[in-house]
Amino acid sequence: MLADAFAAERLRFFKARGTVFWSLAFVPLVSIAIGLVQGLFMRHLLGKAAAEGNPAAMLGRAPVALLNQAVEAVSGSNFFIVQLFFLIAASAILAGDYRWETWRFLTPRNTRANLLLAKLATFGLVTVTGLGLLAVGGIVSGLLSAVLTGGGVVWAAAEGNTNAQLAGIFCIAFLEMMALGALATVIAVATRAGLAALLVPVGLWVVQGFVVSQLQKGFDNPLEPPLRYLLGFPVLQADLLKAALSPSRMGFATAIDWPVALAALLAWIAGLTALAVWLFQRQDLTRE
Amino acid sequence: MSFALEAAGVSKAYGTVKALDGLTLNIPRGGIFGILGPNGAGKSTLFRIVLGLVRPTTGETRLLGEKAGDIKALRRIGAVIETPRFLPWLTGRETLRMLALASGEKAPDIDGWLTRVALTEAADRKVGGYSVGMKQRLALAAALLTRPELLILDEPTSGMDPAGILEMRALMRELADRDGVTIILASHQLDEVQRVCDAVAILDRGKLVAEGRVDSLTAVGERLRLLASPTARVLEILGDRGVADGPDAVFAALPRAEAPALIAALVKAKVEITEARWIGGDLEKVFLSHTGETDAG
Repeated sequence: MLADAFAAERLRFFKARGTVFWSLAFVPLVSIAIGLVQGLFMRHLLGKAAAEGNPAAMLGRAPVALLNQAVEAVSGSNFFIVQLFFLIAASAILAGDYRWETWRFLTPRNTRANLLLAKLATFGLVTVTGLGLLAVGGIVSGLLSAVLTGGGVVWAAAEGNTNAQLAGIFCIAFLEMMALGALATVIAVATRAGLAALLVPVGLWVVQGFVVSQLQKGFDNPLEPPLRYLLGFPVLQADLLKAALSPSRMGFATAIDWPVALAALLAWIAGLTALAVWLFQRQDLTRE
Repeated sequence: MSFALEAAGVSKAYGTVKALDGLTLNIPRGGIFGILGPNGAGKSTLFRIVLGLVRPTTGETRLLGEKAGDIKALRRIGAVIETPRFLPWLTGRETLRMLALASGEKAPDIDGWLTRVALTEAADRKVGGYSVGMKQRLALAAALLTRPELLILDEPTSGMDPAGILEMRALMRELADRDGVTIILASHQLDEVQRVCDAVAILDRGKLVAEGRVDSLTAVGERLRLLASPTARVLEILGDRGVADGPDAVFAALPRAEAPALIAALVKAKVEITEARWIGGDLEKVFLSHTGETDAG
């Protein structure tokens, strides 16, 4: 039953070419374009430096580690502009039936819980696809940069386990995006408005990020006040997970914190999803 | 007796407005049942409640014996509620495929239903470019896709051209008579209801004001107009049940069941009958007498 609803959601989403382009293809294309422009700019600078016999010309020709480029690209998914593009998909998937008044055709065909969970699952699939495309965009961008600057290409940097790092970052980015998606589901059901489902979650994420970044200054341990009180923020939980994966990223985090952060992030996703389903099952669809 | 739809004391209030006010109605299985009522009578609200789109304030509804809103019952019905709306970027065929997937229908006869509702040529065009009538046809195909036992149609012919309306009527009759589908039809077009429905219920301000077979309801006030000669002999036989209508015709006030006996008596009395036709007693009069409306809208 859930699989049926999921299949229907997938069909309708991937047929909406405009939404697919803006939510999945646009950001990777922009990252490739930025890589191209950067490469051309570096090529110009390096050419000039080489002509002048400047040793700086050699620095720009350092080999590009493609997997590390992918890690950087995927970890950039928590930038609010990137989140906005992902949530274009969430808004279309979650609030589309209110906008087009099409719930009346769907609710007699499957349970409300299945229909809503299928939407969130579709957003999950979109997120996986989008993060994958971001990684591909990062790799292509690195390749372009290497070709244009005449630098070499290596699959991964020598230090650290980049494969594990990419897998970890991918999972954390996925969970953070799903927390946003679960919040967007609640907002979509409560307001019946696609714009609210798009803007409110990202707005709340920006506010959390600002608060966390301001309060963590000067503190060594996230378990100490006042940061301890912010552990409920999904943004901080995602940051802690990333820090556990790459300790150099955040000075105050320790690897000990990550299981709590992971559990809290999962609890947010589950709790928000349950709230959305509860609301939707009680909602009158007089006029979608 | 098994019922297609049962409503027991159903009320639904939107703020201070009562869309349904203690409605009790049992619609039997089989045939075509019409639901009539002026705007705001509660027809669409009743449909939305039985389909689980809206929860009643009080009362209980059942569909095919199951509690309304239960997915097991819903999967045995098809419905077209109010003006059909579709995702504009999907084609007609994709729309039906998507809805079939959502229903868990593994082998939907999409082409067959597109043909049956005369949408084959437009099947691969985006629904956003469809006319209202085409959307109605697509909605009907969507409702029929799962081969339902019960079909709920809310204004199914609105926006259709005359040829489309005739096709729709023929299709409804065919579904009811050949495929055994029970059809519950809400319409403002009283002539249409009178032509296709076997029985009707009339709602007004959320309450049931009349219910019965169409021929029984319309029999009230109906008169037999006889174009016959000599009229004096006809009036003599009819007694106080006959009234002259000009020099050549007589109105006979009698039940339909007595008409054959009357005609036999007139023939025996050497009256020459040119025409015998039932006059008046249409559904519009019945509707207006129960709702006090000046029109059917």
